[in-house]
Amino acid sequence: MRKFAYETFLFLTWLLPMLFFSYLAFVFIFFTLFPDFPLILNQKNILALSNSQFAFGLILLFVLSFIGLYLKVKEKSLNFSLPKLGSTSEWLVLLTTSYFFSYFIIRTFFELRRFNSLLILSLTLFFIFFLYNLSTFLTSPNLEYFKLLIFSSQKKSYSLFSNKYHRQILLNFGRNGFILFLSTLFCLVLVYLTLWTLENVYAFGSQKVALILLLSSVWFLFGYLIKVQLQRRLNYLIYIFRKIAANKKVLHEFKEMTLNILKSFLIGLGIISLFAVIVGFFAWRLNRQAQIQKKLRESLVITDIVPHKTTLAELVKVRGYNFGWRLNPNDKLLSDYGPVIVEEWTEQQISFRVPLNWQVGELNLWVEKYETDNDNYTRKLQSNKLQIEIASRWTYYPSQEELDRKDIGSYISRGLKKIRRFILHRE
Amino acid sequence: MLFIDGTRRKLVQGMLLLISYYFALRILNSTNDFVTLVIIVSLYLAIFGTFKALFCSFASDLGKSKFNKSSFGKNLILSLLWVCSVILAKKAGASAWLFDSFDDATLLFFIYLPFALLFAISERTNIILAIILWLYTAFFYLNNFKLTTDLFTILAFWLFALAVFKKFYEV
Repeated sequence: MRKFAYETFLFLTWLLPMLFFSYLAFVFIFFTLFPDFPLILNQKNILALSNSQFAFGLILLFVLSFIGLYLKVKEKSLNFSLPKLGSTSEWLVLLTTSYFFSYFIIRTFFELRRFNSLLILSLTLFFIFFLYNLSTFLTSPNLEYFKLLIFSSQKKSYSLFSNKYHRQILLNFGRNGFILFLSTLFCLVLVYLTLWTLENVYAFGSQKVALILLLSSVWFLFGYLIKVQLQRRLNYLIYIFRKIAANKKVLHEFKEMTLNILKSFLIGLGIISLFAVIVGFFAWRLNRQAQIQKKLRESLVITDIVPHKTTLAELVKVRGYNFGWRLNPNDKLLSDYGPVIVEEWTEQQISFRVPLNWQVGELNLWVEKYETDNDNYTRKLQSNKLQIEIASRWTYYPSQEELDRKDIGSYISRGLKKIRRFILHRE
Repeated sequence: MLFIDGTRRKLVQGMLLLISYYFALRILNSTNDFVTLVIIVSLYLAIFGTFKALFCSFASDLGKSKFNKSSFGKNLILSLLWVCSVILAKKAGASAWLFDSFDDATLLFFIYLPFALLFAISERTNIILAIILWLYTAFFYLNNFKLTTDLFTILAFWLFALAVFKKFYEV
């Protein structure tokens, strides 16, 4: 069981990054390449995720694959190595990819502009090393354990192709299954085309047509399957079973083999279901998050107040979406104490200084905006309310008494307040 | 067009496909939708062996370069990582002088460039790809799909340009 869990985890460290990268690349290329494509798919939502969400996901996946890489190195099936690339173009691609990734992560998490280039440079160097090893890791998934688990018996090994009867049964089953699949597909295409023609050309009601055609097709298919396919296969199986029953050894082997196939099938089904549940869960969460993001971006909404806790006369930034141009004089930022004097109003940010008349404690902030359409109809939009906490000024600045005292306690207190001020003015 | 297999029988098949498609549209009195158009043009190109020519040319490129199985996979993963890094870098506003001047088609070409470099795609493959895009462009234009027409035209132009630059570099 421990081995199974270990191998499953190792496989997931390979699968999840591969899925994420492939999915992102596919969605982007597909939607950029076919802008006229009429389908509206939810998958497009992933591109609406914010930079910080992408960065968190990316770091999580990188950490996961790093653990996978480390485990593989420990198993001695892979080695950490410095990049050994064949051509200049490979170096160029690796270098640029590393730069882009590091730029994205640094710009998402850090606001210290002075050190940005230094941080980006050092992270790029790390990524050159990491991405090279990551590409080696992602190229070589280890599926041997699962292959063994599914295709071999634990007690006694019977090859599926050891007996000519078995081989014959399997080959026939495969061939007939394939023919059945093709014929069903053909029938379905015919049904679809007939449905489409009747609905579009003869303007039948779509529900009526669908019901008539689907019922008749289903009955036709059912009859066809029963009469031709199933009957023929049953006759063939009866013939094979009679032959097998004549030989007891072969019968025993056949029973063992059937049990093994059943066991392997159940184990395989279990593994596939486990992966499907895990991957499905991640995909569902990601899609849900992306949908929420998309919805947020389409409405007047405050997402963040920076800093969340502040004091009087300090600059506060209200961040969100769709604040728009302040065309109407009645557009305003409101608090529990009334309208606030705004210093800067942009599409995604409103800045103001905390008025001196605000009391210490928590209060709500929200935006009111008037939107006029082409018919001169005006409607009022109101954003969500977010809380801001106003602290006493002496939480951040030293009082006169502290400045006058020259003991260690006052120095520590002033130091602490200086750190608080640094954090407050960081943005 | 020498490398595209255009025998007389295929020519007749291709023409018949287009004519029957045209008459089917006239009889049904309906307009082309995007998906049907893409399928029909793809079938038309498949009949003329254009896709076959593309895959054969790509396989020949791979055969000429010193690829083994592991370096092929590694380059494929590097190309995938490149696509994601470009998307994220553009989102974060990296190299604004570069990305801000790109339209969608040029960005797609920029994403395709490392693939062409890593797999040493020859000018022949690029030209076949450009011809395929060109033919799609013509059909999209005839059926008033404006955005896709523009996009495919620019992409075809870039692919031709890449083929020419590659030839210059070799000469």
